[in-house]
Amino acid sequence: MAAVSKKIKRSSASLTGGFVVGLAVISLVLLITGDLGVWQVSTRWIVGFVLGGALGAWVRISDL
Amino acid sequence: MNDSMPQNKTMPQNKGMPKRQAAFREDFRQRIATFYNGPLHVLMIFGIGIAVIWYSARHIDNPAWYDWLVIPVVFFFANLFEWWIHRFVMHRPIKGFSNFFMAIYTRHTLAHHQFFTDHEPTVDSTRDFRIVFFPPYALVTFILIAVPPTAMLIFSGLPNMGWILMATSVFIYLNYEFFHYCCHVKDDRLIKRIPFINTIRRHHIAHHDVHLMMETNFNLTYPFADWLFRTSDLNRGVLGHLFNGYSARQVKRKRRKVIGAADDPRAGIARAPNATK
Repeated sequence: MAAVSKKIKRSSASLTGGFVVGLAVISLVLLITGDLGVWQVSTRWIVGFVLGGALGAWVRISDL
Repeated sequence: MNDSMPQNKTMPQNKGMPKRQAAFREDFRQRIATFYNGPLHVLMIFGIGIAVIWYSARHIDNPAWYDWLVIPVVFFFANLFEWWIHRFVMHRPIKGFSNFFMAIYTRHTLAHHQFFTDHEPTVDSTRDFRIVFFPPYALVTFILIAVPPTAMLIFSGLPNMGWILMATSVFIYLNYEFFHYCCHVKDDRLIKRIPFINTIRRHHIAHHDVHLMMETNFNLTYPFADWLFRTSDLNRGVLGHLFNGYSARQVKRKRRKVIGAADDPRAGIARAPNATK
């Protein structure tokens, strides 16, 4: 049982998963804002990076 | 369970949490990261999912009647996929592939099923969402699986079908997460009155019986594939399966012999009826 719990706590999946979620959020922000035609391109990238970075980092530090 | 749970021949009653389950819960909760936040976890999943559905819906333009036929087709194959992955990946230790499938098995069979049993299948706080909901990258993976057929339809000159396929796929994923949460929520006063949700709650809690989990009740949305492949604990037709609710009147009585009870470390290991000790 201890081995199982250890795996949950220190999963490397959360590292990969954090990057995956971050990239997905950046992509979504760029797609949606591009579709709506709002903001300048640079603003879209900044918002995408901030939001994607924050959520990706949270996935990692929460060890999801 | 609470007082509102129907009595007799309905849902399994709370028989008291086994010591093994209580110990696992305590250990698991201590290991949940400090920064974890249950509502944020749920918000992230549904935020990403709804954004993709909204984006897909914006690209559907004046669809023909046949474009909508994608919806039942996606529901059908998603139901089979949900059944298959639950039965043959989440409950089977498969080595290789950089431990990708093994990690899924460990999280599900060795963690989720230890945390929730038919004795005590409900959450106590939002921090328990950690073991109810999939991590958000599972949704992203599911979206990526839906991208090739979506792109294929779009580039084949059927863009409406493609975008409906993507929207439906993500909707089904959110449907899965919501129904699964409803299976493990503490207060069932409302849930027990909602068709489909009451059905899947009984269906899934029965699946959390260690004696049944390896072979029975693998659907998490609508128990269609369990009916189709005869892996359900019910002896009913397809409509009876879908609208069964909490009723246990038609639960099959014949179950395979298993070793021990919930506190036995060997519990859940199915044995052939004629196997010797």
